[in-house]
Amino acid sequence: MKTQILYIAKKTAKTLVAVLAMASGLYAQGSSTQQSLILRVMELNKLGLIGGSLKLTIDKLYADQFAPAPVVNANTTLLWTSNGENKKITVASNNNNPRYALRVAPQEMSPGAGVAAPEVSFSDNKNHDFIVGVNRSAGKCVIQFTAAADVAKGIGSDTHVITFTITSS
Amino acid sequence: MKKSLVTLTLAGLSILIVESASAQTSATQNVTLTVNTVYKISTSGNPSSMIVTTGTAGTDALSSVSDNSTTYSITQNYGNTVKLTANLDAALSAGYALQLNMASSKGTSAGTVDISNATSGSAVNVVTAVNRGADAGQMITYTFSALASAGMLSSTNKTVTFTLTN
Repeated sequence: MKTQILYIAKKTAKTLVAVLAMASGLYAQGSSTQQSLILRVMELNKLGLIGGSLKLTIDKLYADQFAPAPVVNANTTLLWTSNGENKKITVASNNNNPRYALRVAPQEMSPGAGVAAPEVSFSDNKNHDFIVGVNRSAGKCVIQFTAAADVAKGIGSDTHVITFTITSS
Repeated sequence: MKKSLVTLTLAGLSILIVESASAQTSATQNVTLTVNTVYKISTSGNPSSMIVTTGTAGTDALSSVSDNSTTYSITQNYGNTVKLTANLDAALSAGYALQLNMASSKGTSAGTVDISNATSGSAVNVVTAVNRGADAGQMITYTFSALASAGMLSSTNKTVTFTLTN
């Protein structure tokens, strides 16, 4: 009887120690965890204009000629951002048969943001290159309009809606 | 006489046996309790995809995107020198940035931390001085940003590892 009691006590003690040891082992795990992320950047092309609508009025003569002097306006700015490759910016007028001459060219371009194309003279409503070589860049330029009138064309007005577009080369 | 002697001896033996029995009415055990250091951290899952889709004309920095749809929970019994660090499996390429903000009610959040270049050998602290106890359901906020000059990024998997340490 006494031997039995002693035996049970010893077995219980061993079990108790074993349970405590096991519990400690469980809680030693789980000091780090992970998350999986998915990241992506889509192609993005953005154009913006500062300056709004313009009105060019030819009302002066050349100082030494009896011919209307051209009028230049450089009050508007074009801005662009593209993370794509081999892009260009084109310009078009909706007036495919203008009475008077209107020309446009980029000026004061941001370095490295593209290459200025030659001045465009609007005579149709097609897209013409305005800035080429736009690659993963953000930039701006001054839009210089030049209006000229041949005296033989008389007095009147032309209306142009000018559209700039960023597109693939 | 002989009989008396035997009886006496028997009685003596009985007494001896009785005394021996009375000497084993209690027993003692030594029980040792040990509580080891406990660190446990888990998250509620993975954040949604972060996709940059827009920006502003004339600006190189595109519009960043954020996600705060996941939480983390921690339990520790070590002390208030425990901290939480974070690192990526590999650094992001130049022109892309990933920031992380871990809220905390048991420690001091480091605020918004840039982990773009934090790899396993250079994990950054995101929560420090975490007190003993449990902190459940704290918000994890990611912010992903990109420059236009860095170009497009096709869908890319990144693994963020959070580690409790002291």
